[in-house]
Amino acid sequence: MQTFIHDISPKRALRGIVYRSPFRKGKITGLRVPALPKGYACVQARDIPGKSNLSCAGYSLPILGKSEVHYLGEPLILFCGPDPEVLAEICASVELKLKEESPVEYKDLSGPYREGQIINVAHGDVDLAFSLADQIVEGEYRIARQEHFYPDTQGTVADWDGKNLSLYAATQDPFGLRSAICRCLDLAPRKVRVVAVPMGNSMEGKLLSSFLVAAQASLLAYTAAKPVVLIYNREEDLLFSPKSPEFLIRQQTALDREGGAMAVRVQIFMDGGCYPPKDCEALRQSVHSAWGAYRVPNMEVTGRTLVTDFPPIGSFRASGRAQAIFAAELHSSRLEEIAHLDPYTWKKENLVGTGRKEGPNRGLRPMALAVLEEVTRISDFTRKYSAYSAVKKRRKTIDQSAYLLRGIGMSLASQDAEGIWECLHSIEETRNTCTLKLVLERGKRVRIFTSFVDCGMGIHALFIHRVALLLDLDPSKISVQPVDTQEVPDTGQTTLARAVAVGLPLLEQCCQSLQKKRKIATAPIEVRRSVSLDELRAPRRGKDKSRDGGAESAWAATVVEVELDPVSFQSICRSVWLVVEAGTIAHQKTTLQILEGETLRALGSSQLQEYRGTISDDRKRCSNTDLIPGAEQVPEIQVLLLETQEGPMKGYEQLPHLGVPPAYAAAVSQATGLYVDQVPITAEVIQQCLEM
Amino acid sequence: MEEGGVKEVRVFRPKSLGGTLRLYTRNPDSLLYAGGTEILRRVQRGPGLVFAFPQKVIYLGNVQELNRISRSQRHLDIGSALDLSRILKLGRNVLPPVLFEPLSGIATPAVRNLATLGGNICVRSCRGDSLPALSVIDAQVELRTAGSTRWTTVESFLNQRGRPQLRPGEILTRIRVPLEEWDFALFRKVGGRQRLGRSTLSFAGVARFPKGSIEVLHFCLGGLKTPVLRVPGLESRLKNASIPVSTKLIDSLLADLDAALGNEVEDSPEGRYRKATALRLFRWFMEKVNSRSLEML
Amino acid sequence: MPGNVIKLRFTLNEKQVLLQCHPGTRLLDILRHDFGLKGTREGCSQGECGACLVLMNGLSVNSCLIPAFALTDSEILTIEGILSLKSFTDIRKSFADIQTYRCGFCSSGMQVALAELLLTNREPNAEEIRRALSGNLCACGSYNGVVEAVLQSSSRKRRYGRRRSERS
Repeated sequence: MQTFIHDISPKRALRGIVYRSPFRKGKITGLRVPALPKGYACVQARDIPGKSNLSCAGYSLPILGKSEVHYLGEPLILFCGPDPEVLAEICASVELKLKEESPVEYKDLSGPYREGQIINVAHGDVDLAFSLADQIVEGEYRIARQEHFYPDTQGTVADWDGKNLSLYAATQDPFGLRSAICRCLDLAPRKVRVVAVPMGNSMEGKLLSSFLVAAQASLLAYTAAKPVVLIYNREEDLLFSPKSPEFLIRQQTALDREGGAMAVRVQIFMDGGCYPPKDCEALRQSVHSAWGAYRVPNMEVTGRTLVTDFPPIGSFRASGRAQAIFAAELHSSRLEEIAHLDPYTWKKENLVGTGRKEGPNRGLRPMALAVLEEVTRISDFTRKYSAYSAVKKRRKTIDQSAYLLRGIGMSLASQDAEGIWECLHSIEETRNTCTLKLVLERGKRVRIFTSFVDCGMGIHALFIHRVALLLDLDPSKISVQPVDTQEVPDTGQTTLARAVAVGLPLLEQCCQSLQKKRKIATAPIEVRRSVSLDELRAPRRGKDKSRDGGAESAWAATVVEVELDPVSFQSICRSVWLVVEAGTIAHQKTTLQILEGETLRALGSSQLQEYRGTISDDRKRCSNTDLIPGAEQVPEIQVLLLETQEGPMKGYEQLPHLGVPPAYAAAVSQATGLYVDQVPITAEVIQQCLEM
Repeated sequence: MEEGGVKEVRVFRPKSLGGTLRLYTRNPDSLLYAGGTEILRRVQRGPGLVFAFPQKVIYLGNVQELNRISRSQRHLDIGSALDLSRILKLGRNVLPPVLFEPLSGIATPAVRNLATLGGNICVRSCRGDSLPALSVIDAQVELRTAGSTRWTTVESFLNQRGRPQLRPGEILTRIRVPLEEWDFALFRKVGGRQRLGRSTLSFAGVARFPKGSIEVLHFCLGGLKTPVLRVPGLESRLKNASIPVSTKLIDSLLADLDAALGNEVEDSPEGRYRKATALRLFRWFMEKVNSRSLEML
Repeated sequence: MPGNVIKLRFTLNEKQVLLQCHPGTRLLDILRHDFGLKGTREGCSQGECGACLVLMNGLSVNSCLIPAFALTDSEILTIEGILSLKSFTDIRKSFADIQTYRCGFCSSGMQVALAELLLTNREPNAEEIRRALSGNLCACGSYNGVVEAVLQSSSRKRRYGRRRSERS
């Protein structure tokens, strides 16, 4: 059985607890800590020996609030001691006086904006195109905050022996965490050791978010000079840990007389929470994906980050890109209607890559077309789309039970490799090399040394199978060294896309080198390969400025078929078809299973209840079961991999999150005849659309 | 329940109903505990922390009389502390289908192994589950003290705000489920666990129409402000109505139901959804009654 | 510890155990902290995710929703106990087959739910398996893989049974 962070509890370990603000916003005028029994300790912001903010990837997040409170549940004091019951009592007797201020909500889009967080991208003459337009189509699309719902809540076990600090952490970035802790405690890196323990499927919720709990546990251990276990309980994790940001995207399209798009103007508003990062990757991703894969001669995109009094935002699988693709794909379905074309035909006719040099993603047409054609074929899309459209025309209202409310929707999306490089860069300015090590031991056993953590994405399995194939060994002979910063090299933060794009090539180089050395040396043989950020970017530099994402992007076309109950308006997803082009597939079974699982999660965030963790009346209303689908909600999911043997393997885990929400919304829109412009789509949302 | 630290908690574990009733009379401030699934969600305080129980708890799990089912030709008597899984084991052929449906849809299999029918009736947050079904089939609840026994309907057992109307020292001991045959029975729950919406609403309806007209039709809505909403005026308007019921009559009944639902929902997106769905559920039920009546002809 | 304690006697993984604890202690904490049985995991703490399932008198229950006082004289079987039983070897094998692409956090809860099903139904169909797993949430969305693995294990068993009967 796997050992998760919750299962680690060293002898003599103290328990930690976080005192959080019960208020949402205000200035602290008084904070009284009760007298602590012997054996108990506390830490406030002023006690932090090093930097009191966690700074990384553009974020600057206070470890503990000092004079102001910016969100409900902001950590203010840390306590530790042997008895959780006593700790709970201590927490309950803290007295906080606060001059309350009214919080800034996301609804007010007029600002305040994060300084330096307005991104503009433009090409062509958008104003002229709009002034000449025959018709202007507008739409506003809303994508709610999303909760990661990782099964194991955030937690760290920290042990300070007076000289060195050892951390057992559920983190996707052990070396990044080590740097953050060094800054916080003002320690040299050699004095901090991070052991990354296996974790539940984190949905990228254990990148920066894991640093906060680790910093808190480290401070407690440092102060108490004893091991400290700090595990957030489910409620505090659900309510206060970083989420994916909410987006509101306004799309305007200028059409010519034939319904062709002359220009697109997109305004993106991202709820950056109370401590929005500088140079936010999610916002950048959304701006660059604002018009999906489609051709338009004139385009202007503006992205803004709003500063609100919600918990800090964090990474999420496909964050930014998923929201932009959702808006672009749904908006395109309106254009399809105006052009009297079915989605497949419209997409095919409007795909970029006809030789013109406008906008990104030239040269992708063959792959995009291939996935589109294949998904159309396997889902019988064209026939079903016409049949459901015909029923929609015959029906007067949607609550007539005589008619089946069925719809089918399609989307097209790509997972760009670009984000991987940018992310790599932004995580840590000083970490610009990724290294991987392979050791051939006696008995033909091979051990892989990497800082990539297994987090339910099959990364270690993928590596093992790759090495087994390349070295012609039985997979049982290959193992991955437990991730410990004293044992493994820094391969960077863990995401499947990075493991595939950065880790696999390094692994392959290591295997080639090992093969050669095997002939001249005996075990143990050690090989190590590194790649720098500059080298990773080199192939891109040679090309012209407009990014040719064709070769590096993985493509997916998604079709979702839904049926709505005319009485309750609850939707049932009947089937999902996903056709993916992701280069050479290293391990087919794992890839298929991961894509199926991610499809289900994406369906959950499209269908199930919106996460509104910071609103107090939702504390009891938003439960875990509303956030991810259960065994009985699984529709028929068909995943098809279009394998191109000559290309490298590409990241694919984001593709269901990019493709499923817009296809689902398009299907619900067809089934109901309503414009459903948001996710998640609950029965209440459909009722609201009907009333509008 | 107030959240607090660890208190002295005294747990009584009576084995007989008589003993339980006497104990409760002497300790009226005790918490009656059977399945505990709902209570425990409220008193749970987090990992490693004990439940914040009140000082006295009477555990009903060992009281034989409250944990059994007796069956006669005309009704089933279900002990209030019997878990839902054991009730469901009776199957659709014994348990009225209109009750089987809501009970089998409650929470998860593991929770149904603990949760009880008595708890489902007494706990406010479970209103959408069994109550409308129990109401339409005229189920009765037995309420006992150390010296008295009375029977009442589920609607009158709960006040307007859904609180159980128990006298001092009184315990809900049995639920009597009539085993009448209905020509048509239907239960439908909207929302709740994994039902893709935040509003919970349920509808139960039964009807008998032996000779071309409705002899009796009951329907009940759950999950609104009134926990068990029956509209007797509408039911009596349908009595003796010829079947299939005319569209005109259904429309007129819908207008009356619309008025009756006026104060039952809050003015919010969820409230408006609930009301609109309640009306759609009634229309759908009447359409189903009509189709069933045509099948029977 | 403040508060009162009660003495408990119950059967844990087929062994009689005695314990003193506060009557409001959660069974989940008793298993993990007092007996070191870490296979029973804490997920949602609300009886909704199924990570903490154990068998209590042969029925699956959420151990986060069981107070100590309800344990007296009961029989508790945790995942560790279940996996040590010969009759559940197939479940263990099925999960080992599908472990590569899932994080495994929900595995023990799922195996307990399946153990309850298999106690009464040795050859369940896909629908019955899904219903049995309806109280277990999987963050990796691996339900189809689990259902398939259980079905395969059932058919393996059927084939094995047939071969044995043919031989005899």
